[in-house]
Amino acid sequence: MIGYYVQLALLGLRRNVWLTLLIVIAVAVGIASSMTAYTLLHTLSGDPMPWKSEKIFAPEIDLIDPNFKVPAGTRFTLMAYRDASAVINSRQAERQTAIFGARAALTTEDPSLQPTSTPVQANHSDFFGMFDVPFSAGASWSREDDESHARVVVLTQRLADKLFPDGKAVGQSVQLDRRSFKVVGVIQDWRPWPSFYNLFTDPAAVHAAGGPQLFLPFETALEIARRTAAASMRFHGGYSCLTRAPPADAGFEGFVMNSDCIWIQVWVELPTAADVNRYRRYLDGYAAELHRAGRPVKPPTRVRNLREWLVYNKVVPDEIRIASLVAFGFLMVCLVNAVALLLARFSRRNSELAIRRALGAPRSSLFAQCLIETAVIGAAGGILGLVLTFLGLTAERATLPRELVRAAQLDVELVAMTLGLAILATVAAGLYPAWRSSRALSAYQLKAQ
Amino acid sequence: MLTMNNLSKVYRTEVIETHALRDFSIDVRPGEFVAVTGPSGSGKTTFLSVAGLLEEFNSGEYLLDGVNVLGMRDNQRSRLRNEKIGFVFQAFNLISDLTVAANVEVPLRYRSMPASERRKRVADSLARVGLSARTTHYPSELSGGQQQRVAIARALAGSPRLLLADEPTGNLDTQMARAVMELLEDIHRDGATIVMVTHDPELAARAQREVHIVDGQVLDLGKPARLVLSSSEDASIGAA
Repeated sequence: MIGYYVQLALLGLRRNVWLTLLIVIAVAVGIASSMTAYTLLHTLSGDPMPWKSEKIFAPEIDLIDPNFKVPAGTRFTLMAYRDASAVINSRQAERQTAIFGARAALTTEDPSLQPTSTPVQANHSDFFGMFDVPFSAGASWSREDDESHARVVVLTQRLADKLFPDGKAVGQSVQLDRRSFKVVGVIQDWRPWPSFYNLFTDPAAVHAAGGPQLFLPFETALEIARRTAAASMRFHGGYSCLTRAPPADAGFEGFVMNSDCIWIQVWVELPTAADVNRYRRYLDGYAAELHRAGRPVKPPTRVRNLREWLVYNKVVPDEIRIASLVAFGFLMVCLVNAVALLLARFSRRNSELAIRRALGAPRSSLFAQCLIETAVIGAAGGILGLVLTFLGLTAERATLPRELVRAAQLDVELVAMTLGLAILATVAAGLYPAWRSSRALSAYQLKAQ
Repeated sequence: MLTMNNLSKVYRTEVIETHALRDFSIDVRPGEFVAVTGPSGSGKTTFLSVAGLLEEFNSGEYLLDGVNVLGMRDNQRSRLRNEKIGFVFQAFNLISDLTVAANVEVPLRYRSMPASERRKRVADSLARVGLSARTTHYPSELSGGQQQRVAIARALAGSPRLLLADEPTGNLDTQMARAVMELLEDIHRDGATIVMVTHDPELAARAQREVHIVDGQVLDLGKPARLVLSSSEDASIGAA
């Protein structure tokens, strides 16, 4: 019977065309508004590494002067250099990396290439394994390279293709600070969303450029920054002082190396619950040492896994959550309108339904027929809704901050969801009209034909 | 075939109670052709609705082909209606966006009947009413008489035991009405039980028995004195 009902529903689309069109538009507009908002919400709130997010942690030590009034909503997610360095060197985790972002003037040995300001990321070698960064050629540098401040880099495929069009980047050299750095690896296009690993050390400008294009050892990057006094490498990202700020003449050592200001993101990989407990104890012990040394430590320390960390840092802005709620509310309004329109549509069908009833159709069959007709209208609304969602996402891309633009994408999952939601929502809206019509009868309607 | 004993049907609103049928008793035997007559508002349509299981009744007993319909659920009533009853309406009641064949097929769709069997029955029914050449036409492309013949074909397709006809010629001109009436008589001669509501005394005279309804009660006039079933329309009417 379902095939017969679908056949009738398709026939029915031609009946009361304008009314049908109104229902389709009502559903489509509601679906498009909610799906456009949902897409952004879903992408932003997604787990970027579901297979590993329970094993990757961000340690946190709050350095706050007791006399300092902390602004509401402040998040303590970064570390001062001294502490990041100590935590990394302690080797308490299976893998650990500190991260900061910068821009650097980059050239190659090819004299025809002009120096270009390139977004770079300083991190430890463990970064690549911890975040499962895929390599297309070569490999990461080693821990020994980290310790020896080796002049090695990893490039993105995009930068490698640009600098070395012949396709062989590994083994070649690039120039940073007029020194030669050996390319040891090239990574595939890897742009997890949200860009969680360097949320605060890779600002929008860097992300809009496609994320960091060159990776180099953490301490090596600091050496360049120290030596060139920001001429060849400029830090990018958050730099917060919740303690007394260094004096203006503190210089690189005062501002970067020895201050209590926070600007480095640290990640550690802890595979088991026992590892996590042990690491918590270590961090508490380290904080106690700082306190004894007179540093402005505010307990407790925290070790948040990746998902907790994303929630804590409100990766999904409240505005987007509210916009999503408003959009779904709008869908409800559209569906209420659809209910009214469906009532009108089915009331025009009462005579046909009465005929079918007289010919032996039970109420359940008429109910099913009406619901399937509603589902077909919902599918039509879903298709139009997809087009409107696409337009909505296009408009979103034009108005959103650039770092959010990538979130506004129409993919297979969204297409399926849009169609599914449209059908489900329309069928839900059609329940009452279908029920009402399936009970409509009878001889009087047949006589009144 | 159709037995109602002391049946009553009351329509209630907040302010008024209307007794459409009261102590209504009738017995239609298998193969009988009964004409139901009566003034407007006498309860003819209500009788047909209750007889056709389109409406429930308040009290009394109704046996359809020996089956007591009291207390049946909607699905059971619908199945019984689908298998035992064929309807022919004054307004034809064809579904406008279905072809002739699809219209005739409608009652068969509500049985678990293979498509080949449905097609055969549709073809046979349309052949019976002389509309085999019109299967792909839409109702709006047919004359009133042809539409009523499609409606009769639809009623016959399910091989019902009982044909309920509500003013079947009421919307037709004399010539078309005559043709439709002859068709009903043919069907009756083939063994069908027919209950026909009509205002027309001439048509009523062509039935085997006339039942007159006044104020929801039966006044059985018995076999019309004028009735002579004949192969000739003139002889039948002339005998009156």
